[in-house]
Amino acid sequence: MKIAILTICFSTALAAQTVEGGVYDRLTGAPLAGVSVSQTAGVNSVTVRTDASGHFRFLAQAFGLHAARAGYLPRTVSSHTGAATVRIELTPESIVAGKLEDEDGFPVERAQVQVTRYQSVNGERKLLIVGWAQSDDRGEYRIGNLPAGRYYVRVNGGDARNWDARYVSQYFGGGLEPSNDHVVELAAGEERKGVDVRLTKYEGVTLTGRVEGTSGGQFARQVTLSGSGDPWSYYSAVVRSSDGNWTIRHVPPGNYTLRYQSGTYPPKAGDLLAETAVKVEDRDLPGLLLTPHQAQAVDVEGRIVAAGGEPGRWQIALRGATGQGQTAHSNEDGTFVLKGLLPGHYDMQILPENRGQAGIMNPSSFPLSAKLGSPLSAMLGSPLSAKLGEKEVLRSGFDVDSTPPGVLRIALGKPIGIAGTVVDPQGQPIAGATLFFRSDQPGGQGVAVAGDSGVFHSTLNAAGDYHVYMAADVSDLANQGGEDEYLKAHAQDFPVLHVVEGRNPPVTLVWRGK
Amino acid sequence: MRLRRFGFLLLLLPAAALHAFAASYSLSTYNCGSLTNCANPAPAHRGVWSASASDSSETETGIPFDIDTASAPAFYGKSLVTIRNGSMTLSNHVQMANFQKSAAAPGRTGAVGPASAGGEIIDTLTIAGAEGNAYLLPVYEVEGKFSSSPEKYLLSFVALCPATARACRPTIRWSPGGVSNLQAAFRSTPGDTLRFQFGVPFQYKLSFYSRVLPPAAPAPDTSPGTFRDDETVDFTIRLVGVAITDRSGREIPGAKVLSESGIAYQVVPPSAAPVQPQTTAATRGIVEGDVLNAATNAPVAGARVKLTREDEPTYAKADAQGHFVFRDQPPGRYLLAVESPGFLRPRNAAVDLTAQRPAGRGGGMGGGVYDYSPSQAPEAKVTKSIDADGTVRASVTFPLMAYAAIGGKVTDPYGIPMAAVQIEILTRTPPRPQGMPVTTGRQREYTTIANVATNDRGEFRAGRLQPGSYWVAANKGSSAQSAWLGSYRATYYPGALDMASAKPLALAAGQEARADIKLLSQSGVRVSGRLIRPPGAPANSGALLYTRVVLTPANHELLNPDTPFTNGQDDFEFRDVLPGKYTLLALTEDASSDLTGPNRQRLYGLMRDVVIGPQDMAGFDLALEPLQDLAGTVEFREGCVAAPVTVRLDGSYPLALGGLTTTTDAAGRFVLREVPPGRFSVVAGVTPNPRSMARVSSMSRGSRDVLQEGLEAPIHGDQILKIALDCGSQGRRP
Repeated sequence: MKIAILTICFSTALAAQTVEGGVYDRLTGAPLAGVSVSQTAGVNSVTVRTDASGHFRFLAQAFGLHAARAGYLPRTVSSHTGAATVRIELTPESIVAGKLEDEDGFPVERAQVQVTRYQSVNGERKLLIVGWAQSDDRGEYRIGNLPAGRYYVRVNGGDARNWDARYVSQYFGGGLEPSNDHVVELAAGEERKGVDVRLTKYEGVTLTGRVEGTSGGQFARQVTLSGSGDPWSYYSAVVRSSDGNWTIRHVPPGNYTLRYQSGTYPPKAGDLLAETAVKVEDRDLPGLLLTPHQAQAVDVEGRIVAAGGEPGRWQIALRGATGQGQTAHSNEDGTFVLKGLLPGHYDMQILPENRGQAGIMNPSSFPLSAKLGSPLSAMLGSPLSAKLGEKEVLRSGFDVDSTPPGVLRIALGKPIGIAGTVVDPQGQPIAGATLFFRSDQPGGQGVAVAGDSGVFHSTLNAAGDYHVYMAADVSDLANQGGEDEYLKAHAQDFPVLHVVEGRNPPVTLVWRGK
Repeated sequence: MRLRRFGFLLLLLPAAALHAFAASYSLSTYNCGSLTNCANPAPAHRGVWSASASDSSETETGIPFDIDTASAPAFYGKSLVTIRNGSMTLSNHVQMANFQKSAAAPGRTGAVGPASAGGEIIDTLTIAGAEGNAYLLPVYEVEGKFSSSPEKYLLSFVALCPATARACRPTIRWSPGGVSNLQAAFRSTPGDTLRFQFGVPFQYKLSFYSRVLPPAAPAPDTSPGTFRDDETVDFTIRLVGVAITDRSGREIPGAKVLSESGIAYQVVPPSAAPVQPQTTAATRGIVEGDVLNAATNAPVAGARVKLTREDEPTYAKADAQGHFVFRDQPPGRYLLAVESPGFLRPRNAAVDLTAQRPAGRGGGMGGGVYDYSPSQAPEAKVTKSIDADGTVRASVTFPLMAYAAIGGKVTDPYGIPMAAVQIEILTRTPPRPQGMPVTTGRQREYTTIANVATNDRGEFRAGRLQPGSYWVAANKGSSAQSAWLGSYRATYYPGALDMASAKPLALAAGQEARADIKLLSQSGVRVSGRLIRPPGAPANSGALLYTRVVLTPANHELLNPDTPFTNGQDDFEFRDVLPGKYTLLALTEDASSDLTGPNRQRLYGLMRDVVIGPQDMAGFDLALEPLQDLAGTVEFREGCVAAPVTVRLDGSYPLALGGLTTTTDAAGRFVLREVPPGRFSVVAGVTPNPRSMARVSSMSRGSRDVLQEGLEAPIHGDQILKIALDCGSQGRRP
């Protein structure tokens, strides 16, 4: 995929400058009218519209232009301050459209149709949903905004309006699993119609069981079965209050988690919870017993430790799978307590207390990083590791049950400051560039934004060899099959940056990419 | 049939009146009275004797006779029939039989049932002479011969109303005419006959109590007395006629019921043995019916039908005549669902295939009198009959209403399609159904009933609309694909800037309407100014203060307003604001108090009604005020049981905040923390029982009637919000 070609100009003054350019169709080269071009930095973004010859012109500050138009994939590109002519090429979007019917030939309404694709994330190949839509009353759906690629179309069948409970989630072409026989391969700008899915019935197996010892509650209580595959599926059954029995029918094979919760969602301290893993094959599973225990909130103690010296003050924010949040503030000595955590999985975010010291900008002016998934997302002053017992949980988060899990130890890397200038092969500084630094060390990531004269500075947390990437066209990243492929393709854009402990002299990064 | 332990009284009437009853019973009009919905009653149950005597021992020593209406004939209560020009035969055969009192022992209720288990079909009714929907009301007669002594007896009839209705007052006629009270005290004469005629559209429990009153006691009254237990009475309860009424119980003029066997219904001789009503397991049933287009009455061929019993479904399809049959179904309760493409889904019909029970009803299970639904789809009609071989047959007519749809295309002012535009379909808010308690102060004039987004071609479609009038509005969506410029305005079909100039689409059933919208573009003015923190507020020392400033158009609160956002710094700026009236809301939160979730600490805020003129407005400084807590109390009145109450503020849109809910403590007090700026309705309800009868009767803060006027924030002053809950009697009269 080509990145937008940026014409480099001499940078001039710091104030807002006129930015002008043109927007073109990448495939045909034709100019595009009616494209909205907006400046993404700052709070009140300015938006202008390209005229009949595809030109736009407005006063902009700093960097970041977002271009959008119906029928095309939106793009974010970086620009420069100073009078620059920017050429933005938009790729026509690809579209999947079709109709859903069930075995009676009736249209299926309000089913979620998902367009999925394999992507490499953190070295793992995962099937991710890249687009979805709901079918309308005629059973028709249309999913646009797709880049070229190989897709598997799936209908999420586990919804309450299912006329016949035997319809389960299935893929285009039939079947419970994606199949290469029915992959939908789209070229850029291609509209593929007729991707029709006919829902077929699956008898599946029946799960029956009991929830033990439940007292009479006032709400209908439910047992839920969530598939752990991805994309996931979901079934539920009502627990009969008289004897605690429940039945879930027509479950296709897979790995599931069976859950019971006595109160309403999300769970609270004092609710009765039960959970167990269930593997469903081709036989009915009777007699599944759930023994709920009372959800107790636990406190998690922790400590932030700096490699040398004081850790400073940090905030440790947890977000649970059920959307609850909990934030703790560390003391001077680095200790903190996360109070009142209910059982469940939690992801962490650790941030310095005083944002000023990390040079953090207004989050709303950071759409570039927001579009990237980890590990390239901007980690602002991230710690190196977080250990709960022996387990490293910084990235993966951790699980809490009713017993306190031990002390959470967060190790901070010693901050290493780096600075320099980023230039093009002709030696001209690239103003406003967004740079990402990535090494194989734990916590070895950083981000920097070059100023007007191409000067940048950043803080890294570990010494070592870093690859540097310049996100000139961030929105392409997800479209290129995932981060791993992007990282491989652009590993040579800059020479490897050697970072040592202590003081690093300023460096000139010469961009060699295309 | 002898009845032990009871005496009976005779009406003390002039002798001539005793012969006043007629041999044939004309159609009478029976009013449903205070009931709003004469739906089929619930099965027999013990009702509350509302005018009970103070002697509580009578329910134990007295032995009531109950007519177990569960064992009543098949069309007890109401069966809906449609009368057309000419005559129509009821599809079910009417079974009428005598009731017999089985032997009763002290302390136990005697069950009354048909003389024989299956019953003999002895009549067919023809209804003729009018048009429209009609209901059949049975008319019962009680006839008895009593031996008694000249003492004063108390006699009561208790009407059992549907569980959710308030006190209902059935009309009871007895010979020689006149309307009874629920109680009557009589002096008996041996050999006298007493006849009562009942024709009320709900079940009732007939209780004969004999209680000796002191000689001087007036009647009816609640004086204490003693029960006799040496009297006997013979009585017969007969179904003697049928009234044809409309839904409110008024007689349909011109309608006639003709009985094949004549007006004098046959009486099946009582059998000697007591009869327990039973359902034989071997009885199978048939559920059949027709699916029709409600507007044209044409059959809907190929409609699919699902019959569910205890969560197990069976499927069938209507044939070319719209007819479907499920054979060989075991007795029990069923739910019937129907659907066909192009039609609104009607509510499920409840069908009871138990031989002894009433037929069931359309319009869904449960719900009862308060089943308010905005759906215009007519109810299904369920009638039941018993074939000659004992098969129970339920016939259902399902009218389906074709739905309407609105589709269209949205373009920018130059004609280029706009993707990811938010389309709202609006109707006028329907008036609140009668009887629903009012707990909030305000109601919006228009309600959004559908929200769809335009696709890559700028096209949208909203289906499944009921016939009615709809407005269509196109507004900025939140997707990254949106090419919405600042000068584009929310546009109402066909091209208006506000609802007042917009034109609604009037949709009939089955109509597909088109609503293309070209967005209007109008430059606005710039509004900017400083944010001034309250005096004494701490400087920005490590806390992450974010202030959101929002301008909501005063008239269309439904649509997304302009929402800029400032990061805690001191200025704000709106661009491209259309002149007009707005409400400005500003809220400062400390994001560092909760990075991840919505529970951020709210610090300052401001609400102001502003008028934006045609010129740029600079220097529009906003003096933020500190946000206060709102304390309050909840008081329970009139028969309520104190319980925790959830108090919630509604109307935080567009700031869309969480954390505006709290629960009262043991003393009925509550605090809503850091109330953000806005105009709110306060909603209070007893948790967690949604069927609690508690209703808000008043809400006030200082001199402000919060129930009518709502609450405005930022809160000023420290008056508390007082909420009163009223439980009153069961339910509320509409």
